[in-house]
Order: sequence, then structure tokens, then C-alpha cells
Amino acid sequence: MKLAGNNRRILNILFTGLLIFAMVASSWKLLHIKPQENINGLVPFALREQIYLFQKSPLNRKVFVIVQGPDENSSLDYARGLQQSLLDQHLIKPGFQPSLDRMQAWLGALPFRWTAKDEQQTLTKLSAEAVDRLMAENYKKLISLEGWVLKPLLLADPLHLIDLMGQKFALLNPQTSVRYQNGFLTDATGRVHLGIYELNAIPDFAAARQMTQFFQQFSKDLPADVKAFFLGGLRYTAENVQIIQRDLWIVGTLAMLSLILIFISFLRMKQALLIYLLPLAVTPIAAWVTYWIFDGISGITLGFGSVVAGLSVDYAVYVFFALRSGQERQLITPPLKRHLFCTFTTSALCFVSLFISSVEVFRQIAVFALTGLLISLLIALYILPVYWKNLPIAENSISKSLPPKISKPFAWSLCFGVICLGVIGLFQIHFESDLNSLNATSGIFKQQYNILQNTLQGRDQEQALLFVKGRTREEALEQSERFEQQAGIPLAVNALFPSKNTAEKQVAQWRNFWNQDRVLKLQNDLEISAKKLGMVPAAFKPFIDFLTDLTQKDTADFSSIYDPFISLPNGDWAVTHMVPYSPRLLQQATRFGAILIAGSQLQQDLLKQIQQESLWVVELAFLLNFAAVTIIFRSIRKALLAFIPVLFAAGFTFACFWIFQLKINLFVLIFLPLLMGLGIDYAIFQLTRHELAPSIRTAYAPAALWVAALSTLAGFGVLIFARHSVLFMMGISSFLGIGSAMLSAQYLLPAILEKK
Amino acid sequence: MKKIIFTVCFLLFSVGVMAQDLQPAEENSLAQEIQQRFASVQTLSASFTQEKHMSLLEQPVTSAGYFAFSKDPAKIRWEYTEPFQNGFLMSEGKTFRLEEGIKKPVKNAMSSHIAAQMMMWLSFDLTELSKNYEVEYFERGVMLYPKGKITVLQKITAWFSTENPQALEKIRLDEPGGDYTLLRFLNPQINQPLKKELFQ
Repeated sequence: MKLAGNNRRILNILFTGLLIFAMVASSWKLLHIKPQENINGLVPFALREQIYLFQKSPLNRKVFVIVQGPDENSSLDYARGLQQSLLDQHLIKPGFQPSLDRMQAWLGALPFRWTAKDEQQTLTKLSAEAVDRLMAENYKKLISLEGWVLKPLLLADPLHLIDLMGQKFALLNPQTSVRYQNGFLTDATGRVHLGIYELNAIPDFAAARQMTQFFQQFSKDLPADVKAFFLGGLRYTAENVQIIQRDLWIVGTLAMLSLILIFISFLRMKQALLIYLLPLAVTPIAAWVTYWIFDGISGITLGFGSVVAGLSVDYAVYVFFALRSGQERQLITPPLKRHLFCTFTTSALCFVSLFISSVEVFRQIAVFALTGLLISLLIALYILPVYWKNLPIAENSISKSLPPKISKPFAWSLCFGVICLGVIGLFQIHFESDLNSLNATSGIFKQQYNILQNTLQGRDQEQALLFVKGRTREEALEQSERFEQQAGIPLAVNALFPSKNTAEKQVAQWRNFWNQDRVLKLQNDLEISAKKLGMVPAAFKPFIDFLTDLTQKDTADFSSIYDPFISLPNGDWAVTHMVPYSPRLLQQATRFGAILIAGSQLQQDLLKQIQQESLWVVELAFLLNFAAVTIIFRSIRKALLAFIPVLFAAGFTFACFWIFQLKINLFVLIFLPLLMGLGIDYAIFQLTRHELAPSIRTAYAPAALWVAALSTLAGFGVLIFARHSVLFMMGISSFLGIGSAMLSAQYLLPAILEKK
Repeated sequence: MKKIIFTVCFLLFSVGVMAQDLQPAEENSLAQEIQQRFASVQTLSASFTQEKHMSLLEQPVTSAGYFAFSKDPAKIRWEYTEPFQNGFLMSEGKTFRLEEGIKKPVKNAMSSHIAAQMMMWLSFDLTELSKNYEVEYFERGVMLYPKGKITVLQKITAWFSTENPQALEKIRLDEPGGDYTLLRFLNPQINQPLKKELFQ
């Protein structure tokens, strides 16, 4: 074979050395990088901002801790015990603790948040009788045991103006049907207590594992009728990690066993081991190139891309079997080269079409696969033949035996029937629109999630998150206030976080309200009332000073209770509001330039976008491949024939989904271009073989196609045993798709290609 | 006899407690002795008088009342009878305000927090207390100094009875600025059955 002639031997050695160096250097580099776990890479560009905001929204950063007991009291007891244990283990941050300092700070914040409604309520407290009543109440509290605790606040605020701030905080909780008691949210029965906490660590795999272990330990000591668990993003991570780890172990073992079986069945030579070493050489280099281009690489790209790199063995397999056929290298080199370039082109074009997707991970996978396939091609054509110089000729049983022939009419009929079934199936199959289905969750998780849902039941309207943006925090606050005015809906956050302009106006309103006459009258009433109760009249002077202080500054910090600010990647800011969802509000927000996200709407948008992009990818891949095969074979007929395994496989797969009532998820869409590439590759193998003179057809042994297809199935198909829905969907799609493409290419296509 | 038994107080007496001018061995010995002394007390009730000495009051104000405490399950009723009838009730983790004998739920977190603090002081759970206070002994009792952020109290002093080893005579709560509250306990009843209605 002249793929690597004698005069190129030194060049080949250099090339091998360079490859080994690149492989080692890339592996070393990869050991020092952390794969991206950012969901933004998985989201279409049009929705990236929405997902980012949703992720950064105040509640999304929390962990939900739920305790369900046989009765209200025991549930509360265990909820408190659990809260304390979580704090002791430093798993959560201490929540908001009321203190006098904080209460006084809140009181100091009131002038900056003073509204007409506050004025109306305060006026009812300013009559002499009302002052007497409040002072009597204060006196009772002062001489009670807790008097020394409340004394500073009662002296600072004898009219209980702090209640006005409490009302502003109460508006932050839109779930009015949920009770907030003893520091927990409770359901109607009181048997469920829900604590919402901020995590003490970054919500990654390690934190998820630590939290899971804590709850496993804590639950051991609980009576049978008490349940304690956590939910939220961290729980999804914990569930996914557990299931994926189990899946990887099973799938890895089965894949390895399958490859060993293929090796024993078809290869059985130490030289053939090089075939399966190919992915080890290709994967790190492809990963490093991807990392270099994108300045990072997603964990999903590494996972999915590594499997794609498994395709790299195909080229080596074809070369290996061709070299063992006993044919003259000069005779088989041109068709083999043409075949491999054609196969590479079609596969590459399938991945190239992924570039039109705005999902960054798809583009990363495209680069990864293209790099991997190119290196594999070069190795298969120019390096491996050097090491496969004196291969023994294959036994007849492997190289020459053909699969049993079937008749041409039967082949056409079968193709037509399966494709028709597939078309019907395509319109009948169920598409899983719930994004949660992409998470691997246990049955217990679903039960626990229902408990949380029931606890939060009673909301009349779906809640949505409203994000109002600005170049600065201040501008975002101003925009929020403008939106509140335009939309005519109250935004609780605005009442607590006024813009500077509004705060200045409200302080002016406060000063205007607490004019000299009103303050003097109040001071007089307070002193009279104090004297009646045996209190020193001057005791309330600090309160009077507070009302008339002209040097007030707003120093209150409410972020420990609710932090509505989100810093955007472009340096802008957004203020988060929780509002009841309505289509009208969505229109208003869109017109204003704000973003309104309701869970259901976001899900629909995301699915729609991914479906649309996937369709474009498939269409483009189809067109590019058709054009490429037509050009290479210079025949439209052959190009059409090349799509028979693809159409048959698609029809068979969709028919099976329909018949077995399998719900498919969006990962099937991602798999379609790959399936197309593989189907065409198998067809090209048969087309090339068909074009060869009968005397050298043994270079294209059917066993080569078996090994190539089964090796791919060993990587993908075993995913059918995975419990994770995404991995399972990839497994079942590849098992049905690749399996049927392989069978149709092996049996149907030769029959169709036969001349009458 | 102006003495009261402090039952719960030292049941959970533990490591965080330090003895003034005592060697570690003496501290341990004293801790064990107090623990044994109070281990058997399950319930406690008594009447009390309270003197409020506050700069904002023209005269000290004296109040009177009654309290009942159960260790397990943890319950406490603290109620004034003079000059006003009010107080609080903590039962099985829930806090209520008592107004004219009527139980009202405590709505805001601040009140619950205050009630929880009072429960801790009154129950004298030294394990809990030592998280928030430095504990020192003197000849007839203990002094608690707030740690960190607790600024409304300067110190709490508790005097044990010299006649009854399971009794406390009085507690003084000193505030910054000189104001203080003095509680004197009367007619203690130890391990007597408490009426269920007290905590309902």
C-alpha cells in the first residue's frame, strides 16, 4: 500500500512522535482544567439571558428544607432540630435573626420609604387618646419581664411606626395562603414545616454529596412517621450525580465487555489492538483544540464528544480489513482513500451543521468531533498502515462470507413499509415537554416534591419573576419604579428599595408630614401621657429628635432578608420582583424592555427554540450530505441510495417509539444528525464496495461494517441500560437507529444495488 | 421563705461553664455536684415579685405573678397578676402572649425570639446559656456575662439559696446604663404535678 511509502518512513516516525507528544501534552493540559458546569452553554442564545436571570434569582440560590410530622408540634420540633443541626454542620448560613439593632435600623429607614399610605395610618395614632392608649401599652411592656429587651425600641418608637416597615416586608411574600409561623412556612394542616435557607457553600457536586450524607444520617434517628428532606437545585444535582455515577459504572463495564466480545469475534490479533487505542490518542487532542477555541470546555462536550470520538475507530477498521484481504495495496488504495474521505466528509458535514445552532455546547461538540475525526482519518490513512505491514490474510469466514441475500422487491417493500410506519409514528409519538424529565430523579424524590408542592398550594395565579434592568443598580431601581407606574401593579421590592430620587422625595414628604406643629403637639401628648403613668416625660425626647432630624441617612441593609439585585455579565444590573403572571403583564414587560419569566412559559420557549434549531440542523445536514455524496459519486441516484439506511433507521426508530409508547425528549433531536452521519457512512461503504471490481471486493469485507457499527453500538447502545433519562434516550435512539442503519446497510442496500 | 428551686437550670450543666478562680479539677467537681443536685427536678412552680429600677420611671415599680415550668416536655408559663394580668406561654415549641388570661398567638418573629431568650434564661439551661454567656461562679451563685452581640443586658446574677440546695433565691438582670430588674421567688413547689390547663 502506498499510503505511506518507504521514502516517507522518517516522516511517518516524526508524525507518530508528534502525535504522541500532542496526546501527552493535551492530556496534561486537560488534567489542569475544570470543565464548565454553566447551564448557559446548554441554552439557545435567545433564552440565555432569561435562564441566567432565573438562575440568579433570589429563591433559586436557596435550599428548601422540609419536615413532615404526625402533628404540628412534633413537625415544628424536628424542623427546629434540623435547622440547628444544619447550622452546627455549617451547611447553611444563619438566617435572618431579629435584633434590636436591626429593628432600630429599620425604623431609621422609614423616612426614606415614607408614603401617603403610611401617613394615613400614622394619623390614626396621633390623637391624644390614641397616644394614651399606645403609651399604656408601652408601659405594660416596659414593666414586664421582657421590658429591658424592648425598652430601647419602645423609647425610640412609642408610636410603633416600625409596624409600617413590617407591612412593607410582608408584601414580599406573594404566597398569601401559606402561613409563616415560628420562622417556617407551613401548610394548612401545620404538619409540614418548610425552611428556606442560603447554602454555606457553592452548590456543586461536593455540596450536594455533603448535604445528602447529612440528611441520610439525620433521617436515621427519626421516628417512622417523620420525614425530613431537602429540595431545590442542589437536590437535583445530588440525584443526578448518584444516578449518573451508577449508570457510568454499568455502562462502562458493559461497553468494555462488548468491545472485548467484538475483538474476540472479528479481530483476534494483537495488531488490531491499535484500533481501540485510537480514541485514547484522539480524545485529548480534540478536547484541547475545543478548549483552545472556546476558551473552556463543557463537561457535556467531554462526555458526548468522547463517545463521538469512538467513531474514530471506523476508519481504522476499514483500513485493517482492507489490508487483511490479501489484495495488492496499489489496487485497493485509491478506492479506500476515496471511501474514507467521503465518509469523513459526510460525518464532518453532519457536525458542521451543528454550527448553526446557538447552543454553545453543540458547537463545542462539533469542533470536538471534527477534530477527532480528522485526526483519526490521518492516523488511519498514514500511520496505522506502517504498523500493519505484514498482516496475515483473513480467513474466508471473516473476509469473504456475505450476509444471506434477500430479493430486491422484498428489500424495497421492507424499506417502504418501515419508512411509512416511521412517518405515522413521527406524528403519533409523545414528546416529553417537562424539562424536569431531563433530570434523573428517584421515586422518593417525586413523592417529596409533591409534599413541597402541596405545602405551597393555594396560589390562585402562577407566580412569575420580573427582572427590570438598568446600566447601574440605581438605574435599575428607577426603571422598576417607572414600570410599576406604567403597569399599575404594586412591586413590593420598590417599597423597600427606593431609588435615590424617590428616597429623597419620600424624606421630603416625611419632613413635610412631621412639621413643627404636629411634632410639638405629639411631644406634649407624650409627656402628659408619660406623667400619668409615672414615667419621666423627657424619656421620649430621642423619638421627637428622630422625627425632626434633618441629617438622616439611609443605612439600612435588607439584603440579608431579600437581595433583589442581580449583576449581569455585561456589567448591567437587574432588580428581581415576584409577581402574579398574566399574559397582559408579559406584554407590558416586553414593551418596557423588562423580562418576565414564568416557569411554564420559559419551558415552552426553551423547547420551541431547541426544536426549531434542531430542525434547522437536520435540514442543513441533509442538504450538505446530499450535495457531498452527489459530487463524490457523480450520481444523484447513488446519492439517493446513500440515504436509504438513514431513512430506514429513522423510520424504524420512530415506529418503535410509537409502537412501544416511548416518550422522547429533546436529546433525540440532538442525536438525529449523528444518526444521519452514521447511516450515510454505512451506505457509502456498500456503494464503494459495489463499485469495485468483483475480484477486489474482498477488501470490503462485511465484517468490517459489523465491527465498525458494533463498536459504535458498544459505546452508544449500552446506554439503554442507564437510568438517567437523557442517557437512556441516547441509548435507545442509538440502539434502534444505529442497529437498524447497520442492518439495512448490510442486507437491504446490497439487494437494492443488485442489477436485475 | 424567699427561695426557689432551680430545677432545670443545671441539668445540662456542661463544659462551657467556667468557675471563677477555680482550678479545672474544682470546676468539674462543682459542675458534677450541681448536676447531681438538680438532676431529679422535673417540674417547678412558684410565685414571684419583680422590682423594676429604670431611669425612665419616676419610682421603682413592683409587680407580682406566678410561673410554672416543666422540663420534659419543655413548657413554661410566666404570668403577672399585678398590676396587670399578662405574660407569656411557651409550650412544645410554640409561643403565646397572655392577655388577661387569654392566650394569643405571637405573630412576629421578634416576639418569638424574645420569648425564646426568656425561656432560655428562666430555664437556666447552662449548656445553651454558655453559648451566649460567659459563666462565672461566686460564693452563692453564678454571674452570666453576655458574649458578642447581646447588648441589652450587661450581666445576669443568680443567687442560690443557702437553706435549700435545690433552690434559687433571686435573680438580678443588669442593663447597661444602670437600670436593673430584681426577681425574688416565693413558695417553690418541686416535682409537684402541674395542672394541664396551665399550658393549654
